Amino acid sequence: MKVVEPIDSEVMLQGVLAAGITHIVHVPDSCQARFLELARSSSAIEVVTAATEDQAIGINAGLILGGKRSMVSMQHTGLWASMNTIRGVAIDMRVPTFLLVGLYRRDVNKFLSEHDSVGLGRFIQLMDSVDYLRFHNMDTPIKKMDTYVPYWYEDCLKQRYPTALILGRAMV
Amino acid sequence: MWYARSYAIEKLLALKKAENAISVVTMSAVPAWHAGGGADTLHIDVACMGQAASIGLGVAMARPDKAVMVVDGDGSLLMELGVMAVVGHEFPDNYHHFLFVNHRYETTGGQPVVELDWSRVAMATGYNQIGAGIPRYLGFEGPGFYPLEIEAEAPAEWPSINLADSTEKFMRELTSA
Repeated sequence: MKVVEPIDSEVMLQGVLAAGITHIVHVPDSCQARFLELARSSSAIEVVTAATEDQAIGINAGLILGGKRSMVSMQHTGLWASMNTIRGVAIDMRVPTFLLVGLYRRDVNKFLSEHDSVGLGRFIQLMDSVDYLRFHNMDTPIKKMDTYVPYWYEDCLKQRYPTALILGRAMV
Repeated sequence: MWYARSYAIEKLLALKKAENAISVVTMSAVPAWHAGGGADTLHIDVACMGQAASIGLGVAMARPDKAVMVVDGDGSLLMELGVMAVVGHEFPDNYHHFLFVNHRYETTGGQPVVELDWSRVAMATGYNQIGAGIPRYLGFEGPGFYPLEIEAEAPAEWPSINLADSTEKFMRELTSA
């Protein structure tokens, strides 16, 4: 039984465009391959490839500080890897940091907590452990993504707290 | 050529002032930068080791009309060496990367860093200009990389900085700059 529904890449892109996002700074993630391919084909968005997730958060911060509307795309292993940069840049400096995070090798027939690997099985605990980090688990995709993404993005800019959308499976 | 840190910062502050440049400064350069007045306008302090080059790159891409000076340290840049390749790929002509090479992790007690030929790394990763010292002007022919041999000194205390407030101040300033 599949416990996770996929998100349509085109709907996600509509949400990103509706949010007025001009830059996506990413480290490759298989869950977002289709979405990033669509984003690259959009004349309204510049896709920037970083070498590490720490750099992606830093480059995104510079773009935001410079007045652009930017977001970060990565996989969950990169979020584990970049927690200190999220702490330093998104929490201590309070640079608005909006993250789209794919769950690499997640079994769509299992709930996250049922995974044996610490990276997946304890991922929600990791997110819960950082009070300042807000996240939305997309195991059940909400309708009207094109409305919610702009709302969450604006809230991230306004509150100046990091916000992550967690993708339960590869976008279609 | 070896620089005393205070002399190097004096020269860099003069460049910032002359060109109304944005400064992104990290680690051991921060106290002297503040003491010299470099943090008064268009300035970002980076307390997250290794992130100055990335944050400066984003700012340079967002504001191609403004010269951006990143004042980095060898220990810091080693932590995110790959960002040099990203700089070379994005190729912002307003990006000027000054590297204080003191061969040690100063803030943690002076442990040695691993050594490498910084100019060759900058050349290999695609920087457009590689300087042997502090240039007389910045201009828009970057990305530029300037490794500066800095004499080792005792670490100075950081000034009291509220990073969230100073970040907000920078965003406000840049909107009208």
